[in-house]
Amino acid sequence: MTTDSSLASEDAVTGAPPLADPTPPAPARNRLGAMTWISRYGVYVALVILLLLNMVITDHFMTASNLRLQLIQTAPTLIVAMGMAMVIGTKGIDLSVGAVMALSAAVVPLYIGYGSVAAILIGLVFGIACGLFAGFLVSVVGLQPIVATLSVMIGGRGLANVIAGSIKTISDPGIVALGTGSLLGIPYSVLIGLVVVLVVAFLVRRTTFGLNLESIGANQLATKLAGVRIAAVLLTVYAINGLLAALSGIIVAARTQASDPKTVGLLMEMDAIAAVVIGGTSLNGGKVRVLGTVAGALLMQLITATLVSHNAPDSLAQMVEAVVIIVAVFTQVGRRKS
Amino acid sequence: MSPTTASKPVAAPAAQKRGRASQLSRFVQRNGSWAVLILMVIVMAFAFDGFLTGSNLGQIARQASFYAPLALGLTFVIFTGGIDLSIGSLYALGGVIAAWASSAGFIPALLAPLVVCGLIGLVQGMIVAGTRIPAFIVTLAGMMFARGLVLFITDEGSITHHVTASSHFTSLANGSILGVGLELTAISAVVLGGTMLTGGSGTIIGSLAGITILQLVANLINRLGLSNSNWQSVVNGVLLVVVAVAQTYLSRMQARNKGDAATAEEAAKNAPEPEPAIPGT
Repeated sequence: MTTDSSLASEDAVTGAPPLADPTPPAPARNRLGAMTWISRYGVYVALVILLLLNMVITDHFMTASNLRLQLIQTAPTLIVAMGMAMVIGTKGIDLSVGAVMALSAAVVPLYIGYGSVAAILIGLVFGIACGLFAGFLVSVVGLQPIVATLSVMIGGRGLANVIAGSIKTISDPGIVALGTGSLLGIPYSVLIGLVVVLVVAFLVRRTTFGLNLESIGANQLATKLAGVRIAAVLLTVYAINGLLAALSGIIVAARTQASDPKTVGLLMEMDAIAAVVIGGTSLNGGKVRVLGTVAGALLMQLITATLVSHNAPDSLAQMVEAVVIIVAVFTQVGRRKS
Repeated sequence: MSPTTASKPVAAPAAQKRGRASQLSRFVQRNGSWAVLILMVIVMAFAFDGFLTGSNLGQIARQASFYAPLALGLTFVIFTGGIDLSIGSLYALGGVIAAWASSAGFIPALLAPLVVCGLIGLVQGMIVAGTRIPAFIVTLAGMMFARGLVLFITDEGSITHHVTASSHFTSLANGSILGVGLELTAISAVVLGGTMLTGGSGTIIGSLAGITILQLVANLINRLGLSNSNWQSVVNGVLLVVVAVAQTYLSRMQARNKGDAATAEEAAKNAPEPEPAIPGT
């Protein structure tokens, strides 16, 4: 509760002009305000700067094919990050998304005999089931989200390995089309990502469900006392998150035309959490920033792309990403006051 | 403060009963892992021929000793209510650095990984201690960083640094072994050993029991003819759920017997920091 109240008072300080007691040092106050501003809007500034920088220093950056590639590579992370943003909005966390991706990607080749649509639907059902299980552990049993989803993370990837055994190539024309086809020049995966963003934005901003979701994150006890069925809302949030992770896993499998249970979705929980947090959504819950999350996912992709296009190895990009994440979270939560 | 004084409005016999239930649940929490371990050994000794042989038990112990340092270090972290997701990657990094440094001799091969991984651990600890960034975020980033470093040293995983000193070192040094999932095995072991993931209670010796239980499960999976070793992580996941749920109920039982049940539960559910979940200890 200490973090909540201090953040709230911080907002009050920056929002309203101080009526009394002007003695406290102004620089400290400005710095706190600046930190809050950076954590909310820094991602957009960074994105614009990085875009402008790339226009100057990277050859062939503003070509249609390169921008298309960047969007295709962002789409899976973006889809997972949308679900993650909702979970984090409830003050939860989901570490299992990568494993759920691997599980759904592993299931699809098994049921491909029933047709590509049926196989995809079954993959999505597995994702929803994983989400419901984690949601049940969190909302009904009362486990901490990190513990509940950690166990799904461990068991889920193991199950994916058991089911799939090894890498399976996918040659089903329907799935291949999902991975490579496009509509009006926009790849299907990017279109799906766009639809997911719009749906999540609608859910969060325009429905009672979205309101309840954010109020659980802000104050679960008060929300419960207000008569909201907390368990139902949390179950729905985790189920949607599982569904989106499964969708992302299927898209990754379709794009690579292979399902490798060992690599699909590996470290995706980190990328998704990073996109959400860099986008300005607080890990303390209470607020879902949809547009910020989109910008966060794009920024992470652009950082990697910038480094890689200038001959930096993937490994270096990964290390830079790790540092960016720590800095982004730090601008939100700040120092520990002793 | 004793449980009986905490629940003073209740009549004496009821309070006594509650006190006993609280003691029992704490006993189960602290010693349950050993009971499970002993039970498993007895059952497996009767069920499988050749289980109680020196070579089989020796092999289980040897494999357990391999994971034990990870679980023991992690126990301290979890005691504090934190978590470390980076240890699997640091394990891989340590192996790669050892192999890389082994060209300079035995002492550098031994010291270099300890220094580098120790420094990374120190930086993570400083961030956890000095900022309000949650430990799992810090160590997830640490995991990413360490994996990146492993790939960097092995030239994107294409170079295998060989050492001739011992075969054990060689298997560690392969860049493709990234220690994926080791942190999860270690967490499972610590939790199985009765350490609360909310911190504040647990035993080192329990973590040893936890690691041994996981090795017995691996042994069991082999003996049941489940050729696919990936069943191990499925079982680990299930075990983690079962133990975490059991711990939640056990600590709720303790909280209930110490004071007003409703407030304790609400405190446990709504607490941003884990400490209020265990009132009065």
